[in-house]
Amino acid sequence: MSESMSHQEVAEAVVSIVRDHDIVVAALGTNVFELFAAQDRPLNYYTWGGMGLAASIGLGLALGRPDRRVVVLDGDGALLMNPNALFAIGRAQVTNIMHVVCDNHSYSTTGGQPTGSESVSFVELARIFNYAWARQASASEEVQSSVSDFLLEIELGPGLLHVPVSVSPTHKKPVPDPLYHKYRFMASLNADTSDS
Amino acid sequence: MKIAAAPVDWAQPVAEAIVDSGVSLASIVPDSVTSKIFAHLEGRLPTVAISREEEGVGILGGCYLAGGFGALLMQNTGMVASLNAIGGYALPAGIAMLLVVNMRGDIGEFSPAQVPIGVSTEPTLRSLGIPYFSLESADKAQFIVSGAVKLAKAMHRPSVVLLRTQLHGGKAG
Repeated sequence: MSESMSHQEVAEAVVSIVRDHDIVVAALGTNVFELFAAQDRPLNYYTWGGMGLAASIGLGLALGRPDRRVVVLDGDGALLMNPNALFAIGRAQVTNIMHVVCDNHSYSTTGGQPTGSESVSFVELARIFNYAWARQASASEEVQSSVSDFLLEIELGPGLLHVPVSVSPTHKKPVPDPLYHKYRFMASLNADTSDS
Repeated sequence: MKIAAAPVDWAQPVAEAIVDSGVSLASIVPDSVTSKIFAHLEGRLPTVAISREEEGVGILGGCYLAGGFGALLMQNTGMVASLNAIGGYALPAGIAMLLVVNMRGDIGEFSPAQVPIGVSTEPTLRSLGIPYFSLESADKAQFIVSGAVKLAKAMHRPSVVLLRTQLHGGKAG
């Protein structure tokens, strides 16, 4: 098995491809920190509470804004806490959502306890739950090409990209203020619609 | 004891009130009472049937961020099961939504399994500072639902409509 990418490299690969109007939702903890460190941008939605909800929030965004592309940066621990999201996303058949599962086999935000995800194939799960496509990536170029194909609608979702990762050594963290990030995100996303 | 018979179609006016209040997405976790409302919503606005209440809070969160407003239909037992999503996400993140909640464990309940959550639902909501309003008759649906939606939007947090036995007749044991 080849050496895993670092979590940071995955976040950097994703933000190197997303355009200004694309939405990125990050699962609380490590994914939020890595996304913020890679590039802070108004359409990054950082979640702070309700572990596991990032994919569900992404589904709500994808349904509410079919004109936008939604990338969810999820973790193995978060997804195992809310695996229902796979069912809901697959069932809804929203074409504008891509689910990136950064799998470090641990609950890294709570101290690195093992999740046991080595025994789980998220790719198989996504297929079982009727995602349009699901595959694994092990290099930045593979992450970039998958994200690019999704954003350019060369490949429609719902899609899942499973990326085994190692834990990155350092974290920059955004200010832990969910209201600030909500208003910044909404102001950017809904600037083109009237909000009476 | 026999609870007063509910109107034949109490669900239709509640569904009308939800639509009239500007709800743009409705989600439901299966429940015998709220399913009757949901049946009237399908085809009139986007709906998502889900299997767990917490994910409903997340989906409605995304809907709100996108400029919409969602309603989550469920049983009070399920609402309590989703308190981490409500307390850990919706409240601190300023997410408005309408929770339409069938009150099990309420007057006329036959199942002891429903009672502990039934009697603790209102104290739980009070302790979280979440406003709730009882709907006991279909002719009040417009007032209660539209008022709860307006309040949720004003507060940027969830509000709750409790569907009482007096409204729907409860579940026969």
